[in-house]
Amino acid sequence: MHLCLYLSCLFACLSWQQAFWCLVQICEKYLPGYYSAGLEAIQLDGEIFFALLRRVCPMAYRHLKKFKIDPILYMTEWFMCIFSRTLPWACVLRVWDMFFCEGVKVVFRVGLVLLKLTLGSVEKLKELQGMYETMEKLRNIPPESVREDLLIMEVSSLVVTEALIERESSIQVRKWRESRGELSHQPSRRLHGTRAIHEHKRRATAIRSGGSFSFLGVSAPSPGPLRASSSLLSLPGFRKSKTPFRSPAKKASFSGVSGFELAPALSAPGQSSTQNLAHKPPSGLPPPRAQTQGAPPPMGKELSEKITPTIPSPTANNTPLPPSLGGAKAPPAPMATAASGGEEQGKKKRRSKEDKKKEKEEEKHRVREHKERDKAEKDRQKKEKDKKKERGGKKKEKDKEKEKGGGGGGGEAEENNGATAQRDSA
Amino acid sequence: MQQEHLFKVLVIGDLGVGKTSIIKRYVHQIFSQHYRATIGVDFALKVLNWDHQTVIRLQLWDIAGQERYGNMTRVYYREAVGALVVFDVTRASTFEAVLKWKDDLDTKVTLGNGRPVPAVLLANKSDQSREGLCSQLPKLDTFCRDNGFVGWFQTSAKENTNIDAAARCLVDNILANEESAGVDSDPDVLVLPGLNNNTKERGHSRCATCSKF
Repeated sequence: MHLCLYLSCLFACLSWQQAFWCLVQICEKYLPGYYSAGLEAIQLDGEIFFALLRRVCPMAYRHLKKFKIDPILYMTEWFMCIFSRTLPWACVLRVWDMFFCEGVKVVFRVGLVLLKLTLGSVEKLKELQGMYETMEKLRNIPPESVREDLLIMEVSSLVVTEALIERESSIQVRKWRESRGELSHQPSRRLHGTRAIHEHKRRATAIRSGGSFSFLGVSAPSPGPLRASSSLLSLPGFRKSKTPFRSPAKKASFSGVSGFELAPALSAPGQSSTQNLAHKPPSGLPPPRAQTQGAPPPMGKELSEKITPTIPSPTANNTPLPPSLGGAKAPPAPMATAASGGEEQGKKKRRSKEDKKKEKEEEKHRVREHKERDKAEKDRQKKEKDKKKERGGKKKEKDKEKEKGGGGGGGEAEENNGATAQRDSA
Repeated sequence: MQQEHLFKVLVIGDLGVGKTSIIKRYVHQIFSQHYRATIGVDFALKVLNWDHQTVIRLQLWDIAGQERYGNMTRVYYREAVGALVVFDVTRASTFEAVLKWKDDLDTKVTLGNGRPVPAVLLANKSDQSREGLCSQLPKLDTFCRDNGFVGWFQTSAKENTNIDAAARCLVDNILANEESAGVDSDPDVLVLPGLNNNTKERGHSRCATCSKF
């Protein structure tokens, strides 16, 4: 498969085993179901993507809807190849770097930015009055029109968080079940980036070594599929193979593959993996975290002004941030990624075992809240409808307020407080 | 008075039979030995100056041949008015799959009047099998009649044989269907009485090699 090829190019410095395990990670953790028979996961993500487009760029959404351009007509190749057939090489490197770090939300964001780029203004749409013209444009995005620095800046300023994707996912899964029946893959199995994968792996290891199951939430993904691959990795033969940057502190961990060069940036500084960064030749790949932090705040501010009005408050932006995240309050919301990038690192430095425990509990709580949240959302929509009928004027005000509120939170905060905020707003 | 038609034509068939190559040859007059799997669907546009009164824009939909895209074909087939079903003369399995593709097509899309969309069968890579399947090719006439293909052609994208002829045959059939559907279904198109006969004549003369019913 072409992905293999790109992997081998991207990781020319890795051994073929490592490249192979990267591929395994993509297929099992980052994008489960993408390459399986029926391509259900791609179609589902197409629906999620289209729903997100409605928030991010209503103009492009309306245009695609008008010409009946189904998302699978253009996003299949984008998502399945993670843009390696779409974008210029310099962009591909940056996008893949971010993708490994932060997971599928990067793919969604890049796709949304591309649609904004091609269908985001009246002048652009004037030339594309037809299905064929639009498709032609989307399938042949001129390489000179996408500059990697601008692309990454746009991508990091887009407020499309994991929480938002998961929420949209549950809506689309429900719709799918109503119209097409049961899904054959579990959308909940998807993990968002190295950190999530590392956490998941850690929990699975705990279970294997006789730990309690209690901290696994109600719908927490089963450790089954992880075991298959990780057990192979932990074979003595494999472990002995030279993996220069494998941290001795994480013996059974998967970091040798999944986290490889990203691990230093994402794991606690106490772990010796940081030192191993030196072993890894730069090979044209910029340091993974640098880009997300790279977007300087003033530029982000500029962008945010353009973007904010089109985005209704995603899940939980209107809750105040916890004190530990005080720093994130200063930059505006759409800077979430850039801000939370730095925030995340700082936070991790401080994170102790206690914090982790707390987080686990929070997650458990969140999972439980999830169902309630959906219900509440439904009720809320119903109420809103009723209100709309009764007093159409007041609704506008409410929306305005909502948008204002949308400026308050960061991606990290949203993740942590998603459930509570939902409940509040409901 | 000039007429312009826009037809959506599907190109379907098993993995690696040369669908993309046929389209590349037909639209861009190029051929490449390099194989690159189509992901999902690809598009190309061929403008035909059919006669001095008619311009035909063929929107060619290059559908991925891998089986896993089977779920998505319903979206791809929507509103198609014709199809080229391709198989590889060097691989018998691709010929066996032809009926599967034809069934898929007929169950998922029909013309406005409920009739199946016209489909032409292409026996591609004819440059590679001077002996092989050639002995069986005469049987294809019967095969086409039995399975609702409007005709078949031995093609080669590499040597550019018969691709234009196959497309013309398909367009003939599409035009014939348009006419029988009547003017009322498409008020934008003005059909001149003289043109009807003209087109039919052309159809017969051009489709001498393919069996028409």
